[in-house]
Amino acid sequence: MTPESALKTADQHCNDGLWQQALTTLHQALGNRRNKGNNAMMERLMVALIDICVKNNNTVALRENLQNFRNLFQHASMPLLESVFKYLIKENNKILAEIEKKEGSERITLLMSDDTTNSV
Amino acid sequence: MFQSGEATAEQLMLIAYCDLDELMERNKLQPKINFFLETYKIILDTLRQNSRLMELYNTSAEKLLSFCTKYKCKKEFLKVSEVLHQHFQHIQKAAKQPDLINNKIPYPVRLTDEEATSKLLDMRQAQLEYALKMDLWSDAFRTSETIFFLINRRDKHDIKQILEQFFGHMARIFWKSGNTLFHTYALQNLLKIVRQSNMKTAD
Repeated sequence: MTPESALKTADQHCNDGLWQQALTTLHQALGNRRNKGNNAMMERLMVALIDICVKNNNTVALRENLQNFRNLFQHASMPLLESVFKYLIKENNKILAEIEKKEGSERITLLMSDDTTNSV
Repeated sequence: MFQSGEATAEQLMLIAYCDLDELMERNKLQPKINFFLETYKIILDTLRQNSRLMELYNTSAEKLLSFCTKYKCKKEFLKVSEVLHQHFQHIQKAAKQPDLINNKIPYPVRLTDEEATSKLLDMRQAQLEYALKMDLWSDAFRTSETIFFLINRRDKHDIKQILEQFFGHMARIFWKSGNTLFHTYALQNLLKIVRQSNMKTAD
């Protein structure tokens, strides 16, 4: 499967609510040695995978694919690795900003603080 | 939560005595916060040996520590801090076997590299400050040991400000632990550095 068609298939799976299958498709495309030289396409695949993981709170697939991606590109292209990690940090910060905006800091303190005694 | 007739008497009693809205809200919010924390930990694990991307590593670590400090979660703070201590131990171990890492990793974090040491030191200073803010004194002491190790690897002339901060923090830690003798010694060192820098300015 070409990386373009992998992106299309993953997109279709997401639209059908089959995000696990979308992740599998992207994982296979990222691991395909034929795509190794195509940096721009690999970045698009990784960004698509990050988007799905962020949307579905999936850290298992994120960890596995990030580590594979690092192993592939720490020798070949450091700027590509940097841009993917920057994108992930940006998306992760958005999550917290959204929660803080929606729920307010007090609510998060109540949930996270060790001083809070929980009724259940 | 339950379909009619599904809940047992015990479950109904539990729901009656706890805040159901609170419970439902928590179930929505908790996974997102867990994902936020876990993602930063993944970034730390993935970038721990890469000297080129140390700024991203430091940013991620500081973001995690500031989150824990802001929302007063000491347990999570200690977990993150433990991860950072482990990563530093790995760097120390790797320094003892330089040939082994040179073959595997393209840009390893080397303790002989001044830029890398400087970035490691910046991160640990921030970690110490957050630990002091959280009143986690034993963790602060552990971090200060790492800072002391890194300070000894730097050139003595450009670390005056770092030493000032370091002895200030040490004085606080020793005061809290009741070691008044060490507290005094830390303050004496601080005084010595301040006096030296004042004398130089007067000259």
